[in-house]
Amino acid sequence: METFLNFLKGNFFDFLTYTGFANAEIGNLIMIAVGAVCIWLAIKKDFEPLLLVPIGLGIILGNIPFKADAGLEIGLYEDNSVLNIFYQGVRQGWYPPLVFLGIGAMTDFTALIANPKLVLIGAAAQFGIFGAYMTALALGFEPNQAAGIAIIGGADGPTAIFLSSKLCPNLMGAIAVCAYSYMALVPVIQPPLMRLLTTKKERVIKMKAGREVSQTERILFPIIGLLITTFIVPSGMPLLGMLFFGNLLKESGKTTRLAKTAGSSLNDIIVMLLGLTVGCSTQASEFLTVNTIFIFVLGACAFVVATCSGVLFVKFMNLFLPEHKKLNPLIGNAGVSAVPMSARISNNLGLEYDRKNFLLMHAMGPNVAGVIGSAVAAGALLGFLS
Amino acid sequence: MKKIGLLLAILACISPDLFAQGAKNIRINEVMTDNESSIVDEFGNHKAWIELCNASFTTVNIRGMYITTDKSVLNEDLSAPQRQALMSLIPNGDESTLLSGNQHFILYCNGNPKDGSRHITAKITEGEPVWVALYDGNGVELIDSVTVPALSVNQSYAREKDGSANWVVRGSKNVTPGIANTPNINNKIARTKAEDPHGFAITILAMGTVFSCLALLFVFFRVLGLIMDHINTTKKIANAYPLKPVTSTITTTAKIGAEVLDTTGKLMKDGLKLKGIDKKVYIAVIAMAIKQYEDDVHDVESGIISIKPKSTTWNAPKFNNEIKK
Repeated sequence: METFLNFLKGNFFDFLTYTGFANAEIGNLIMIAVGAVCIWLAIKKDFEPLLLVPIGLGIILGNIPFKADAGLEIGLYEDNSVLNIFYQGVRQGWYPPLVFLGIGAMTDFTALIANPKLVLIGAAAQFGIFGAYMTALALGFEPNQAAGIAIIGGADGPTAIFLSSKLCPNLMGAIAVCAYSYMALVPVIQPPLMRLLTTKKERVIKMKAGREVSQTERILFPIIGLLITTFIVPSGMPLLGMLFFGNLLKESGKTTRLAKTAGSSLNDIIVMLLGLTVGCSTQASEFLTVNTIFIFVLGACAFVVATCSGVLFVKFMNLFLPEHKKLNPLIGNAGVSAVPMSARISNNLGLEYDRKNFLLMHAMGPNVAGVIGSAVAAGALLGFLS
Repeated sequence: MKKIGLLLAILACISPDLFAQGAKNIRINEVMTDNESSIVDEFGNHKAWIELCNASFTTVNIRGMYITTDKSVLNEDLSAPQRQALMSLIPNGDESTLLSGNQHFILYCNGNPKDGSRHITAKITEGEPVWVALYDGNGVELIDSVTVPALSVNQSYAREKDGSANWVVRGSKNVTPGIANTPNINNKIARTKAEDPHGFAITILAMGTVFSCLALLFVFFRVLGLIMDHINTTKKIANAYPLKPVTSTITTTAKIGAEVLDTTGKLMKDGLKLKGIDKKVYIAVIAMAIKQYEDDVHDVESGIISIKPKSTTWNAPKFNNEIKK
């Protein structure tokens, strides 16, 4: 009986050493609280719920304390654990291109084809990336880390994950959470900057409706776009290739089923796995560092510069355009690639000053150009630094 | 059936090339001639070693290939068995000879094949230059070769990165037996940090790249847009006012049609240059002219549809006189 009791007692105390309570550290608790805040923001405040719910739960999941040396093969960073297998999609960089496939299948480039000069706004908004790159270097980050952080300015979560997984995997968790957080905060960050940089007269500029775009042009766009961008930046091929592939599925008119799957079920599955594993990667030991604070500050700077450069570039373009072809500078913020949220911001702000001035379709042009622009910027940085 | 035959013929043509291509992706990647404190073999001995690398992304089996350091195999008069006698065979029986994409394989030189499949008889003398060659399983086809210069102790001669054409001498701390030759990433980052500490150069280059890409897209689709506009306008006119055959033969009708289109195009071009003329009104005028032409109302002059001002007598003095009165 005594042996039995000793066995019971021994196993019980042994079991206690495996529990989260025995292994919890203050960092874990802080991160669990951060995860809970993300979920709250997503559900209560409606901030990017499709992303913040998986990321929030992932943060909680990744910070559940356990005995790391027990060999349970449950942690994200332990070989062959289930989470580790899911995480390979992030680490090897194949989730982001699949997300781009879905984006391509859902994106309508008509506004851009109808008014191709809007594509230049998408290029101008990438100044945010390089402003942040120089600032990060000044703060003492290595060039590869600076590039990974700076890409947050593109406001494109998959691109940020793709680039940071290649250039600075140790900062990827913080960069991903930062990128998605700022994407969720687009309605908070951009409007004050747009008001600050535009006059009342500029905000009520009415733009002419775009011309009709034929199916031939819509089919040609992904093919030509793919050839031009990947011939110049082959390192951006995984993202750009999948983006244009998805769009070709949509526009060909013969592969509707595939486009539907890429844009709905497949995209949803990847977003779930991506969000969850990125959240999991923010383990307290990796995440709660001074670098993370710098990343968030730099990310905010990048976002602000990107928005400002987009708006200012439209004003610059207006200097050369005839009166009847002038662009409304409120569409400049949409050069960042938070699709379609930043285009919606342009529309809402335009309606605030003129209830008949609908800017959504005009803003979609720079918005989708921003997706291409940030992927090209990521490819260029990857090419220069790897 | 013909299609299947054609497909089989194409497959038959390309399959030997595919196999050859697989073997050609194997490269001599790094060589150490004087190993004092680098890697040890399974018996704990330091031996000169040769690293092979599969530079492709597909799996290639290297068993049956040959390694040699004897330049006399270059003599073309030698028969295949004579050549093979001068070479070391990479033996069967070791699963690690099946190299997956970008995988590496180490062979120890000056050894006895009885010690294991990684031990080959190829001779390497410490501190002396050596020629190393990799031959295909037939012992005739040279896959890769390199002349290694005289190296110091624990130095290696390696490709700058896996599969690249540039070779460098690596110091004892930078040798990479069995793994990728990738210190280039650190070199690149270190060089970027040293030569562009503020990031201006990278910013200019990368921003230039982004603008180039998107500006090219802009130019292409601007031009395409203009072309499509022109085609659409022409189609609309053609649909709204279809041309009827006005002669007895198709050839003549087509000829006249071509002349009409040519003239219409010229007129549109001239008309659109003029300020103050509404495009739609202009097109309507042209359409009316075509209609008149089709209905034989208009006078037939070769290649001319006239919309020139035509003087009438409505303002002649005899009419105006009455008003004056």
